[in-house]
Amino acid sequence: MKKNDMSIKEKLIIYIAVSVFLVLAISTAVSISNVTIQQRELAYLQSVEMARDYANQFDGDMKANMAIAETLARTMEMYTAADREEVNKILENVLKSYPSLTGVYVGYEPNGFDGKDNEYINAYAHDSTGRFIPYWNTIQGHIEVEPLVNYDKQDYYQIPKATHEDVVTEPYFYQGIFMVSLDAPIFKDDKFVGIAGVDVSLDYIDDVISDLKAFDTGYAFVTGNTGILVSHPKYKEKIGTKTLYDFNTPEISTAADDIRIGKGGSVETIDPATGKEVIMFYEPVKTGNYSFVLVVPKEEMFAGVTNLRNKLIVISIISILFMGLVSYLIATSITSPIDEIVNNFKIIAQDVVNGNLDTKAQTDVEIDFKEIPIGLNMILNAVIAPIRETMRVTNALAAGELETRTRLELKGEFKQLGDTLDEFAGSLNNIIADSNRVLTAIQNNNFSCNVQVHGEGDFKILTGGIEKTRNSLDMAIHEQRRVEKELKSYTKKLKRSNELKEEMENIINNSPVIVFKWKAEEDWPVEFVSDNVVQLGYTVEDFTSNRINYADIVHPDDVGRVYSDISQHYIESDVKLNYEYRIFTKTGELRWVEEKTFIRCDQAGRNTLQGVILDITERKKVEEALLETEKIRKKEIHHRVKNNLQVISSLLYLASENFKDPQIIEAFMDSRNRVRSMALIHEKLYQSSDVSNIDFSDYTENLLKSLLKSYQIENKNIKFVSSIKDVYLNIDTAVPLGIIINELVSNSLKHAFPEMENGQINVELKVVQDNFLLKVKDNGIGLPPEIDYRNTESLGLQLVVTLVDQIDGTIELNTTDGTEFSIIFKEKK
Amino acid sequence: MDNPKILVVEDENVVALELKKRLKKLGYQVSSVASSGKEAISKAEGFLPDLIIMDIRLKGDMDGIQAAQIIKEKLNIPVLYLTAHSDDETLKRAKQTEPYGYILKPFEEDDLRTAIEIALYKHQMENSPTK
Repeated sequence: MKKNDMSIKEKLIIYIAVSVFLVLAISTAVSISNVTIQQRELAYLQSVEMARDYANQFDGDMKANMAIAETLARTMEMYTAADREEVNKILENVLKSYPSLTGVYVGYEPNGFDGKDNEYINAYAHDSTGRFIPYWNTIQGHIEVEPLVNYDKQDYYQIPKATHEDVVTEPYFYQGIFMVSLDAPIFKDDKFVGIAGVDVSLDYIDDVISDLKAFDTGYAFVTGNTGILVSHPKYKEKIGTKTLYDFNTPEISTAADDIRIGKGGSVETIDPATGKEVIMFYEPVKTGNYSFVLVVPKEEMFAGVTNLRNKLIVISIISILFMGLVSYLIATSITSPIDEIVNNFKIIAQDVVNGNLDTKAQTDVEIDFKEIPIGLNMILNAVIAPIRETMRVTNALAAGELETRTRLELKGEFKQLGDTLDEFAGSLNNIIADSNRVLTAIQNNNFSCNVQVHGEGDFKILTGGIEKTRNSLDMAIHEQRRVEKELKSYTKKLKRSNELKEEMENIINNSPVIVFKWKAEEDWPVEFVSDNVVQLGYTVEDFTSNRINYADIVHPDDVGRVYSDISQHYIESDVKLNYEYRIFTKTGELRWVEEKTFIRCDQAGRNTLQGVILDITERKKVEEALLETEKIRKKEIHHRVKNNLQVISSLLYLASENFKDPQIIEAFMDSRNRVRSMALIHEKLYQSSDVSNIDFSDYTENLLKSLLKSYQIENKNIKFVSSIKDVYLNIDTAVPLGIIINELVSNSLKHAFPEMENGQINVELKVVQDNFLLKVKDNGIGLPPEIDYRNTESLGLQLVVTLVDQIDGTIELNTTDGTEFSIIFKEKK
Repeated sequence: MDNPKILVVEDENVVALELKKRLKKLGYQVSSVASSGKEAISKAEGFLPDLIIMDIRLKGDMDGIQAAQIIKEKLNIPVLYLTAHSDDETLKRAKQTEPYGYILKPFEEDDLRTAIEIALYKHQMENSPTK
């Protein structure tokens, strides 16, 4: 709630009540806090005091018992008779004199007492060592003696021996009795010779401590410095066996840690025995590091504090209620006269708003507020008279009596109101008269009579509207006349344009060119086609009804090619395209057509294909015939060349017949083979389908076969392995390459295998990246080392090197295993 | 048969000359050389050779296959075609005339001899009266 939405009365009550509440709450809280702290300190001090008292008492007991052990030790140091019987008597007497002791004993080092241990082995009250270790005790309820046990490992003997100090052992069970041992070392000539000790049963501690009470249900117990329970009123069975750590409570474990280092203190925890919230006080016992623990329930310790707090809260509530009532009464006495005036004012305001101007304020109010209603009545009187006068004039004007004017003498702003009314009546009169004049003129079709009197504000809308209407009518008449004139001239143009269109259509329909407009979609649906499509046997309707799409009449082998090209241009516009392809006429006849298409964006933003097709079947036939003729001519030329080369081959043979010198005959044969390798190229060319590329694999097979025959290698088994796959070469590359292979293979046949019967010649041609790689290899004896193939007398190798150069190739020789020439080259274009 | 007579039909006379020399070297008689189909037929009729070596491409309207067909029908003289590594169409046509063999150009003397001997033997066996 906002501050302004609240009444004065509510504010007064809330302010007073809240202040009282705050004061009381703070003072109560402070009091409770102080008392709690005091009470807690008091209880703590009491508890600690109690813990210390008992700790001191227990400490005193322990000191007294230790004194017995020490006295015995000093006595034994001064005792020189070394009589075991006599010492036993002393020990028995001590035990009888102090009924609080459970045992009294001495224990000597080997031969430490009389040097006669050998004589006492396994004797009465001795063990197998014969050491003097009598243990006088009342464990079985009567006095008896037996040898000490475990002296060689346990603390009661070993600690004094090692430290030369007194020791109080940890509590332990021996033959069902929970006890501690207090031992003092015996020295002779400053040398440790044994111990004297007493055992004290701890049952009495449990009896004493368990009966203790603190507040109503608080209790106390004792632990050893390891936290082992020495007494406990609730856990009798855990005494001597369990430690504080076994409660598994973090706070109790913290206390056990303190006890271990001999520290006092307190922790707050849940008592595992009662489940109540308790405070646990612990205090160390000086002798032997025992601790006295006091457990006090929290609620009992703070019972007084809780009581006090409850009373203070009741007092505070009563105070708040009382102060609330008082503040209500004060608020009421202040606000009731204000309410009265406010209500009266509300009634007057409502009356005036409802038009009841005769209403008056009540002046019978408290003296403090009297001027308010009197002033209000004066205001009412001053306003009512002018309002009534202007109302009269306004009513008359509304009734159309525009001559009416104000009569009352008015003052201030009321005078302005009266004058404005009079002025308004006058100007309204003028506007109506002028508008009437203009409208009458319009009725008589005279649109040139302007509005003379322009009103202000909304009247301006009226007079402006009349003027605008008159202007619009004037302009409309003018526009109508102009449109009529234009319409006549347009009709004339349209007629001319229609005549032109008909003429154009006539021209197209009488021409071989068919005009199409296709949609740029799959299968090219036709939007428009010229009438002369009948020359293909189709009607316009076949296409425009979409019964046939344009792609349906294109030859299936050509559709893909044209579509893949033209569809790349669909998104462009103003592109000119040109295709040649085959179509079917309606009767199924195949025709070649040339299409010229223009891709254009239409008004709807779609791309359409506009084009013409022209039957070019005749031209195509001529072209094909020409091509065929050209091919035949080329074949003929290659045939002639081949024949001529064959003639040269024969001429070389005939010439060689005249010689007997085998070297000369061989030279002729080599030349014949070179000529043949060229003749074979031409033979392959006129057999090839395109007359310009040679199937080089086929060529090489033939070449190798004829070389093998030519050299007539008798009694030799030379194998050719050629691996040339799908390599087609033109004549410019094939002729040099043929001669290169001819030379290299001839060399191998002639020289590589002089002794061998079995040989192999490999010819390999393959494409490696962009280049061709030719390998000619034999597994023969290899080139003589003195021969440099790049610089030799051999014509064959000279030809190879120069022809490799001619085809812009490179040549490498590898002689690791026979002879291998590798030639890398590009096809010459 | 001693020194069999052979008619060589080859329109390139230089090639024919080479062939003639080689045949002589191998011990055959070359009765004559013809360079057209018509000439081949008339010389075959005139000389009645034991064997005709016929180039397939010849001068004139008639090629070697046509000439061989006529000679086979009229005279029953065995014909060996002398041919380059020809196209399939030509070979197919040549086969229909049931030739006695082919000599592939370029030829070596061994090829020549083998083809001739086989053709003569084959022809002799076919026409032997004991058969």
